[in-house]
Parts: sequence; structure tokens; C-alpha cells
Amino acid sequence: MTSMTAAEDAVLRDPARVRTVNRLTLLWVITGFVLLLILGLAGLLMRAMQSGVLGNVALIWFYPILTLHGIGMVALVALVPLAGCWYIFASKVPMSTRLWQICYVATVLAVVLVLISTLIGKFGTGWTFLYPLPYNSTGAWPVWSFVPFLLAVTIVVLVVLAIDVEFLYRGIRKYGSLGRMYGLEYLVDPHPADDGRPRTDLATIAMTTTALTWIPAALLGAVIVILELIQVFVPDFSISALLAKNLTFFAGHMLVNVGLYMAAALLYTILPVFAKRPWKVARYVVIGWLATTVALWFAFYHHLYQDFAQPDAVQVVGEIFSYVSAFPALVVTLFGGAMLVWRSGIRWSPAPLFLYMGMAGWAIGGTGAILDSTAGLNQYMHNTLWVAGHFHGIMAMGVMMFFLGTLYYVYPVLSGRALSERVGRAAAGFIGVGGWTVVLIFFLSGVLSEPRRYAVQLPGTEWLALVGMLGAILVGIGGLLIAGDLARSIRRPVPVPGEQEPVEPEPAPVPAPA
Amino acid sequence: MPVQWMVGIAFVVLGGALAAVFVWLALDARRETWDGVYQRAGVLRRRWFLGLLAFAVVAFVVSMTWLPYQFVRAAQLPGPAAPVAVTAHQYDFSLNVECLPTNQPIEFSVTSSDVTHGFAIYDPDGHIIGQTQAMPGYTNVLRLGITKPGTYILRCDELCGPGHSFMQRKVTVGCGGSAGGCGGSTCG
Repeated sequence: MTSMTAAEDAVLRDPARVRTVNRLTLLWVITGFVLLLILGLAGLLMRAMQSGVLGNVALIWFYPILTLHGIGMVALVALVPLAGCWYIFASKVPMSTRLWQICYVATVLAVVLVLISTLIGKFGTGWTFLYPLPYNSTGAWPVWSFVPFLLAVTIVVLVVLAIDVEFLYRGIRKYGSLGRMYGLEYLVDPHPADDGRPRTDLATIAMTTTALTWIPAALLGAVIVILELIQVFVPDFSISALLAKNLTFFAGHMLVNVGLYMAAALLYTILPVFAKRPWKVARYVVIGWLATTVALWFAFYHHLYQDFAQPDAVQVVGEIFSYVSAFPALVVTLFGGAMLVWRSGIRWSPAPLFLYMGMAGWAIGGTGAILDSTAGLNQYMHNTLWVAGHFHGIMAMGVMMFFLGTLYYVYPVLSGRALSERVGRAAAGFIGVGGWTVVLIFFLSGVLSEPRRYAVQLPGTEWLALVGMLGAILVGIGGLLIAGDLARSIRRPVPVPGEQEPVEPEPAPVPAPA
Repeated sequence: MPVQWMVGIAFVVLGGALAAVFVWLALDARRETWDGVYQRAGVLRRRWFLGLLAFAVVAFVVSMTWLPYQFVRAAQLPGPAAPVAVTAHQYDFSLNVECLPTNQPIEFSVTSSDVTHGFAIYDPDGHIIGQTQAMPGYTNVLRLGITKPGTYILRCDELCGPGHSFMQRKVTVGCGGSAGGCGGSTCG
């Protein structure tokens, strides 16, 4: 396989390209943050509707807002870590800035399409568009509103796919083979000798895993999108509801997981800069990510535990691989991150603070997920607000904290403008307290068997939604603090004090252990 | 104690332990740096992995006895079952009986005539005691033993349209030896 050429090396050092990369990254990060605020507001509105404080508005608007919040957040969970990873790899390999610009424009188009579908068409199936609900709205939305929704989903799928394919192409040129991107040489030799070719790093291994798992998922996701699109125009056409559900959750589960694993790549890259310790590739890391690659193909079956028509063996396989998929997270990434900061003398500035909060969210939210991925317990917790609890734990208090940590790291580096540490810490406090209030109320509601996606809560449980709403308001205050500081940094820029280390693919080694 | 509370307690114990470790590590992280962490981390990781592995294997084996599927439930709830046919539709459930027995297993055959619904059975205390999906074109069979008489509520817990949160039906449990009430015709 061809390795990177001198011309490609020159491209990486071209100042004009570096400026474009930085600007594009800033654009993605700021856009992602604004969307996060808007979609968070949608979540706050849903809890307000469920608490009853907005009267009968819920009867008309709850499900369109639910769908907007759901598909928007799922896309954001995938796209903002992708943007961070693109920046990391654009500094190592000549990722195409033109392609990334096209992806940005396409993503803005997807946002517009979702807004048309949900706010004008009142499309309200939730982000899973479970077949055949889109065609059976009992008058709540016209079938046409499904078309912009599907097109938006297609755009998100293709954006992630395009960058994944380019990443694999560029990665193979740089590292020499897919095996070296994965670090397979560490399986036979824990300390491979220098052979004059670049070695992989943790972020590359994580991104390789996401690329290899997302490509088949995107293809199967395309199948269900096309089949459902056909039925819009040919109403007599129909497919198996069980097949549709399997395809939807294979792709959907994979999308949120690749977002999580790209977020892990950000953690691998940025946290060592602040801990001032290296996070190195090792044999157990490679094994962990290989296990993740396999487990992701089968873990999604836990979404179908209550579909008894599935073969029993498939349900058992789903439980096995759900458990397996927890090991790399717990043993490699979260344990590794914990050891990285343990007595490191780290200073908890906003960037590492948000990253660390994200690790806690992943671990604690993941605990709720593992319990629910046990088929016998899922019988009692499935489709209750317990589910909302565990995925908000992992995604909102995990992936989005990784994103905020990334924002606090890259914004000063790329813009040269400092953000206030005091404001950042205060925001982290509001978001931490408010976010965990939201999540724990979801968990408690699940224990009380409150079904998820109810526009109107069960009698006597509205107070739970009210407390959740108050938590969401605290999160909103934290978000507005960050937004205000970003706006201040644009109006009255303060230069970044001293030298902030650039993103280092492989952090500088520290003295050998005593 | 309802299963949901046991799950909640397990979460509080496990999640609380993790939260405590994260808080302790964050506070301890500010102490003087100690590079001996590298050697210590290797030992801890091995123990952490083996401990998790042992826990997962035991949990998996035990959890196989909790599976809600026929091959497990038929062994746990032997004997002839009272058949109950359930058809879900936007936004109600149709049952071929109005009353369910307490002294024999019940076998719900659940399907849907339009979109995918959830079929969750709530006991008089408001807890889910069993559920399956109601999917068009498929029949899911849920075998369940209900010993406590009273008024139970069937609720849809899969988003099925704008009327989703109002889709429920009351059913009486405690009518003796067999399911009945409508003479085999559809109730509702």
C-alpha cells in the first residue's frame, strides 16, 4: 500500500490549508454548540409539557418536538465528535477541506429539512420512525412530512460515511495498512520495534473501529430508508415490521455508538494534554477495540427483547454482546482515563473538567444501560423512562460533556481568544447538577414504571416531570453562561495567556515510572 | 418487592460506587504527582477486568432464568394456560376476555392491526409485571402467572401516534379457573 508522499506532507504544512482547517473546525464547533442549545431547549419544553405547566399544548406539539429533539440529538451525538476527530486527523493526514465544507452545507440542509418535517409537517414518530407508524398518523401529520425527515437522515448517514471512507483511505496511506491502523502488531509484540513507519495511536484505533462498523450500518440504514421512501409514493408497498425494526435499530444503535467512540477519540487526544501523561497504545487496548468492533454488530438486538417473534437464540446473543461491549469501555477507556488523572496534579480547568464529567456520565449512565440490556430485567424496564435515563446519562452527560471539553480546548487554540475559567467552571456546576437531576428523575420514573414518550404523564407523576424541568433549566443556565462567554470573547477578545499546547496525536513522554 | 425497585437499588449501589470513585479520584488528582501510578494501574486493571468478568458471567447465567420467553416460562409456569388473544390498535386493546384467572398461567397472544404498539400489564400498585410488543403481522406469546386479584391496566408503551399516552384498558384479574367474560367473542 502506498504511504504518504512528500507532496501530501507539504499539504499538511501549507499555512493556507491550516487556516482553512482551523476556521472550518471553529465553524463546526460553534454550530454544534448552538444546535445543542436549541435542541436542549426542545428537551426542556417536553418536560414542561409533561409537567402540565403548558396546559394542552402537549396534545399538539409534544410528538413533533420529541422527534425534533430526538433526531437532532442523535445526529449531534455523531456529528460533533466527528468534527473533533476530523480536526485531529486533518493535522495528521491531508483530509479534504472541500469535502468537509460540502458536509457542513449538507448538514445545515439536514437541519432545515428536519425543521420543515417537524415544525411545519408536525411529523411525530420519534427519531426511530418505527415502521409503519409514519404512514398511520391518525391525522396528526401528512405523509409528505416523512420525506424531508428521511432525506435529513440520509444526509447525516452520508456525511459520517463520507468522512469515514476518506479517513480509512488517508489512514491506510499514512500507516500502511488497516491492520497497522488498528495496531494489530501490538498483539504479537507489546513493544514493537521502530520500523521507520508511523505507528497508530489511540484516537486512530477508535476512529478505525467507528469507520469499519459504520460502513455496513450505513448501507443497511440506506436499505430501510429506501424501502420506507418507496412506500410514501407506492402506498400498497409494504415490508415486514420486524425486518424494518431490525434494520432501523442496527443502523440507529450503531450511529449513536460510533458517536460515543469518536468522542472517546477526543478524550484520548485531549485529556493527556492536561494530565501531562501519555495515553499509550497497548495490547489490551487493541484487543478491547477489536472486541468492540465485533460486539457492535450484535448488541443492538437488545432493542428487540420484547419482540418475542425474534428467535430466542438471537435474544441471548443480544445479551451476551451487550455485556461484551461494556468491557472495552470500562476496562480500556474509563479505567485508562481514571488512571491518567490519578495523582497527576491536574488542574481542573473547564476542558479537562468537562472531559472528566463525560467519563463519569458514560460510566454511570452505562450502568443503567447494562441493567436494561439484561433481557429478564428489560421485561420490566423496557420503554419506561429508565431508558431515557440511561441514554441521557451516556449521551447528554457523556458525549456532550466530551464535546464541551473539546470546545473549551480547541476554541482558544484555534481562535487565539481566551475563555473565562471562572465562567466555565460555573457552567460545569450548573450543567452537572441540572443534568444529573434530569437523568436521575428519568431513572426514578422508570422505577415507578412511567412509560417513555407519554405526552401526558400518568396521573400523580407530573411532579417528576416538573423536577426534571427544573434540572433542564439549570442545564440551560450553564449553556447560556458558555454562550455568553463565547459572545464576550468575540466582542472583547482576551488573548490566550501563555502557550497552550496544540493537539498532539502522541503526547510527549513523561519521565519513566519510579 | 417489585423488580423495578430491585433494579433501582442495584443502580444506586453500582452507580453510586462509581460516582464515589470518580469524586475521590478528582479530589486526589490534585495531590502531588506520583508516577508509580503506572505500575499500580497495571495490577488494578487486571483485577478490575477479572472482577468484572466474574460478575458478568455470574449475572449472565443467573439472568437466563429470568428470560420472559416461552422456553423458560413454560418450564417455570407448567400446566395448561388460559389463552387470551389481544389485538392492539390505535388507541385501544381488544381482548377476547374481560377477566383473567389467578390460579393458572395465562398465555397472551398479542398482535396489532395497524402500527407497532407496546403491551404492558400494570398491577394494581402501578408496576409493570410483564410486557411484549404488539406488532402487525406477528403474534408475540407472553406467558404469565398472576396471583394477586384486582384491577390491572394494560398500557401501550411503544410510541404509536398522537394518542399514545391515552391508550389503556382496564382488566379484572380474579375470575376463578379460566379466562372469560365474553364467551369467546372480542371484548371492546
